[in-house]
Amino acid sequence: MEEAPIISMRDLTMEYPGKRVLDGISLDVHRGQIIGYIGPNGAGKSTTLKILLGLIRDYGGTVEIFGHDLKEEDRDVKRRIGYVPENAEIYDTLTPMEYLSFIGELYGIDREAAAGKAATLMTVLGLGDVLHTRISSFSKGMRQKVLIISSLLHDPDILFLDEPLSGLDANSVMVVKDILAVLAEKGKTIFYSSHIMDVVEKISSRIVLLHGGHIAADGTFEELKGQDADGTLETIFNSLTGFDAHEQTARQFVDAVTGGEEVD
Amino acid sequence: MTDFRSLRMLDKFRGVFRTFGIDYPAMRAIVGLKLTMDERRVPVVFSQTKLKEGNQFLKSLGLYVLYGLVTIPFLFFGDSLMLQMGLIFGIAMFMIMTSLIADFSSVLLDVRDRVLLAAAPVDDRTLNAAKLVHITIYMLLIAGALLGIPSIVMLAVKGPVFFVLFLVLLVFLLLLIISLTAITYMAMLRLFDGERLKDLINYVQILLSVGIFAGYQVLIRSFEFVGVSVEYAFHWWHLLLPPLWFAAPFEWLLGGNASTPLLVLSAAAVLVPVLAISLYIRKMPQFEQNLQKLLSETRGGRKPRAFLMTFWETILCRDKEERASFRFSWLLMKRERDFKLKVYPALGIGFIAPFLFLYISLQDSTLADLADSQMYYMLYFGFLIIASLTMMLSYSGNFKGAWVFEVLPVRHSSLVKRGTLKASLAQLFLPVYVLQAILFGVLFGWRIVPDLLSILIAALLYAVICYGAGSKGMMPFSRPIGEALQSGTAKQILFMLLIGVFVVPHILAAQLPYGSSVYLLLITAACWIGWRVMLPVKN
Repeated sequence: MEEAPIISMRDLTMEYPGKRVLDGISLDVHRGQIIGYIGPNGAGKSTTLKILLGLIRDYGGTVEIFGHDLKEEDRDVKRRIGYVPENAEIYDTLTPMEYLSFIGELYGIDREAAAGKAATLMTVLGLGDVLHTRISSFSKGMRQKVLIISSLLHDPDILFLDEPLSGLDANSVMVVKDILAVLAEKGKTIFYSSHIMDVVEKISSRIVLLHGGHIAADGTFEELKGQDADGTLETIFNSLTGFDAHEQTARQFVDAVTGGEEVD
Repeated sequence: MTDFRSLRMLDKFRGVFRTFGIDYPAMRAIVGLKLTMDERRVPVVFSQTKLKEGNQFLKSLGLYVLYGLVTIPFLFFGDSLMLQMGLIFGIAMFMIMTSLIADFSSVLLDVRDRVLLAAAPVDDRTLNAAKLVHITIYMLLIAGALLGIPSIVMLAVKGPVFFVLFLVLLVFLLLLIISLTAITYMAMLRLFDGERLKDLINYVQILLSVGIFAGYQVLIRSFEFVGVSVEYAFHWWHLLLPPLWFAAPFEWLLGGNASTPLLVLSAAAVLVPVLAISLYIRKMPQFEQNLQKLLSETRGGRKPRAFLMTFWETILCRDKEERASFRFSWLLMKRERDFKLKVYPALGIGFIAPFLFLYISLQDSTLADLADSQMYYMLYFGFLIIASLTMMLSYSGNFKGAWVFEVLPVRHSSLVKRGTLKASLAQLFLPVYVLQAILFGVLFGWRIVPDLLSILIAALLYAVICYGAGSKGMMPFSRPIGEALQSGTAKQILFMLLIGVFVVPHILAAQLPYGSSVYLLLITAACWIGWRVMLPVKN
């Protein structure tokens, strides 16, 4: 028999004044899956993530995590979730060690234990020499690493990631990709939204494409490709979101740049 | 983009810029862009609160007009031109320099220019000239607001020659101020690196805002000490006081005093600004190069020792989440520059206020009278610190990081808030109060010790009322600082009136035998209840 889903959404709807952002999403996520959650800008990806994190409560439909309805008090759920937000916003006058100890403690870890674990994780990711440097002097990639560590300190069962690879250099991207794969092997569930299609294509065990508030496609990359064996996720994305004018757009753009002259 | 009047004025000096090798159209475009951005320079971030549109700076000019009126009495005061003009130039220099450092450091030290405009074909010289013009436009506006009315009074009372001389010297004064500020920054940039430099600038800003308050008090008092007709006598250290340089030409040309020291001072008024500005122009490219330091990453750094923090944390906090919040808040308050810029001046003023009022009421009584009096209630003026401190606790320059509070499994937001409030009181209020209490204890004697304790405990109660009521629905450090300025004022006034509610029962109780000690017990009980009501922790 199949295990009960870790995350379960039924007819999830969300409406902002004058705009229906999510229009009946139903999705079951199982243990150990890496979900690549993709869609054009404004499709409702971030809104879904915010609902799952409990940041938005006035949605329609039901959402359950670990079989627990999110409309109820959800402190125990929060304890088992990790989150990396989109824009690397962080209290950057603190040093990573100060920030991470604070986060760890609020997750109920002992201060000493949290600090030790944070130092180890920082060192592994190559930030061992900036443990006590203020985050404000960090590059985007370094901040992103601190946030990834802060989301994993308490060893969560589900990880929500919003553009987790932005700002990271190529080597770090490889490391983080592998970290996600190993975490999934160990039974963690990862829900991950991104615009970088070739990364999503490579690491996701299942891809969910959101378009116009609906799920437009759902399956492994192979299933999404269907007959078109040469397709990439990018072309699938284009065709499913009904955007086929990219060449034409590009030509118009360059024509405007060069003033319409033929360039050879 | 609007066509700015100031830019059209600038066009008249096109030739001057060309001779300095500056690409005028490029510079004009940059300055125009900056002025447009200034009109929108309002830290609106969260969409629900929209600050008023328009150039906030121009609106604040009204305040400078008021400040400027203060200088008018000096024109009629005494008959030493040197003294009059020295005071007027002194005030002007102080006001303009303060605003330059507080509001325009960001312009002078803007590094985004380098990133965004460096790719465009604009050289460093033009870029820096644009900065200089940008600042000069604002300085002229400030100077105009500050000295516009006084100079009209001058024209009417002292005649056109005096007026013209004043305007000419004012130009030199402005040159001196700009180049002095820029050169100071240049020196600091050479000596310090990014973070340390930003801290240093922050401290200068804080010092200056306290300086305004203290300076005005001193100035007003100085009326009383300085006799009405003083003859000006030169001392060598006058050479170190720039306002006197600018006053000297008045004494020399209009007062008819052509002694050597006055000639030297007058020469300094013209030569020093010219030398300083030419030094600045020569060193400009180097300045831009050094600005790069502000962007630099500093690696390393040791784990800071935090004896005080650990000490207070152990004494004041039991709960684990509260402790985490205590440390977090303690560190944030220590480091965050925007926060310090808003709170530290209030600390300074709150420290001085009780003594100031004590001094005022002391004027027709002796120290011995004082020791027997009830004037120690003046300490309640120190509560002003708490009113602004507790308000600022909800705000941060880093407020976007506050998403963590939503995601973390916090048991009760009151626990986090308690940690924050305790940290703020221990770090900022307590040291000020202890110092005040010791000084008052020396003045009034042992008998006021129970009252000093009562006031301290009343302060803790007052703090929890202000913070508990003021921060409804807001986690600590979770709102943009700009928002504090506009939503805070009404609450602030209300909280200040509340201070009175604390003073009256204390005074009444102290009239009774053993009243002070009984009051101490009562207020302690009230404080105990107050914390549980205002920041309740349910299990």
